[in-house]
Amino acid sequence: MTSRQVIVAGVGHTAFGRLTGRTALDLETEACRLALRDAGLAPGDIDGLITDPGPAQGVLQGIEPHYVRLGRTLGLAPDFAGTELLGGASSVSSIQRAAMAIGSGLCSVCLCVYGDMALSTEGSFAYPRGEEAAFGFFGATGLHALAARRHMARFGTRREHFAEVAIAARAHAARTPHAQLRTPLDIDGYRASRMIAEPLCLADCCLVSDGAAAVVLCAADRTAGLPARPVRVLAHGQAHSLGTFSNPEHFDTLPAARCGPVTLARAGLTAGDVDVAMLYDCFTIVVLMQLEAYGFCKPGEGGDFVTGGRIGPGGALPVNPSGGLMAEGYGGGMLHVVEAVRQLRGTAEGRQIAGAEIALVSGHGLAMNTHATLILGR
Amino acid sequence: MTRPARPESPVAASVETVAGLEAAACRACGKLFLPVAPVCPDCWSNRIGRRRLSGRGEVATFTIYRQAYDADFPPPYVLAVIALREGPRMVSNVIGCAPESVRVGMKVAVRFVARGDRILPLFAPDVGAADPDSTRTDEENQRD
Repeated sequence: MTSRQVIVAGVGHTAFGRLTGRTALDLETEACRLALRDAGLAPGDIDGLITDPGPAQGVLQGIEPHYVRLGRTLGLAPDFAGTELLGGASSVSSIQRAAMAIGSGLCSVCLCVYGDMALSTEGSFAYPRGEEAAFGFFGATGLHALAARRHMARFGTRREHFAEVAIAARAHAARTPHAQLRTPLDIDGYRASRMIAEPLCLADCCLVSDGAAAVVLCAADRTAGLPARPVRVLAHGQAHSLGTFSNPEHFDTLPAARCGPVTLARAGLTAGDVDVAMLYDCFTIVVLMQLEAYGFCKPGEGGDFVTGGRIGPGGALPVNPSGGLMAEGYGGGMLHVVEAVRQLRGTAEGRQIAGAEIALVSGHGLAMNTHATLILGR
Repeated sequence: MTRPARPESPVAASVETVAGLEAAACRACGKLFLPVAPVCPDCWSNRIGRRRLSGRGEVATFTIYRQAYDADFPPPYVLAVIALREGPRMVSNVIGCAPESVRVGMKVAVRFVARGDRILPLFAPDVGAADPDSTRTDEENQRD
């Protein structure tokens, strides 16, 4: 797919949580500094910059795009630059865009950055949903509740199945020192969680966070002498469903059903080869739908698949071993990439998946319109 | 952060001038679609007319909002995707019944409701649809 092999050379991130007094720009530069140090590179080595401004900054870009503000602050004059606009798929798509640019020879060392003050910015996730706000359609939870209700009606999926996803995420996060939400959750705690938009309760929703994360991608021919064990970009893909809510399929399937299996096949893999599944987990239902879309189980069987702790620590398919958006922190999807890299390097410490060789990272965004898939390998 | 103003609904805008629910109708291929748009999403023809719909359909999916997002929408309220009998689907509210009684597949009929300075197409349980002879007119139903 690409003419030059692309390597993840460095990763870095700030704390995640409520970071009063910080700014998104401040956090982004910290994440970049950490990722560059991890890569063993210097600012002058960077010749590409792709950014994901997150939900709060995304609507505030105005006439100055996010990459311009960050690039100017970092003193960059890159050969390739841009800002992704795929909602929650933007972090993964930033990696894709960087990999394509490096593969095509447009740049050689590309910085991919997510950052936002989403928790400290009031109403980050309470936005009106276009024209349908006339009917009280606000935020992301109500939208995904429509998909959750369809899944329950079509397949008999129960709230206990959603709970399995939330409980697994919290169990993973308990083993992740930097996670924002490390207290365990059990089924009683899940049932006590207040309803936001039925059938989704607060425990079905991911966190909202202040924080930033950055990843340095590098052409393989530039990695001689770099300190970290290289992680290879094996394949990537996208699929989008841009139709209106009038599309009868809209709440039943994700675009992942198209790009997921295809992207795995491009790397010569199937779902069964995946050791680390970093699935975009904005809501519990989206994890179930992705397990089905990627072929980890059949359509409609996501609920049964996650039952019994299968995606939790020590399960047959640990999903988001860092805790993901639900418990590690809302990192746009870039933290998912960071964790995949750590697992493949073998540096995930107390949560390391033994012998991890293949990682799948997904991004899902907007009104369930966008999906991006990234396959990384040791 | 300044929240963006809530835009007008083209669905709502289209019904303020007519007596019933309408969909866009492609004059080239016959496709019926919502919301009204300047081009047919199937064949890209720009010869788009309007067609009056029955206003009947069923709940394809729904959620009960329990958290307040906006002062104009105190919870609980039911946001639903309505599958109209003629094919198009639209986002709306289910009213006229307890939120807890709404089900996927429930038959509903349009009810125009003034909300602020606008008239919106909302949906209420369709009592007539429960009757095997669903071709009866509204007038006949009212005699029951």
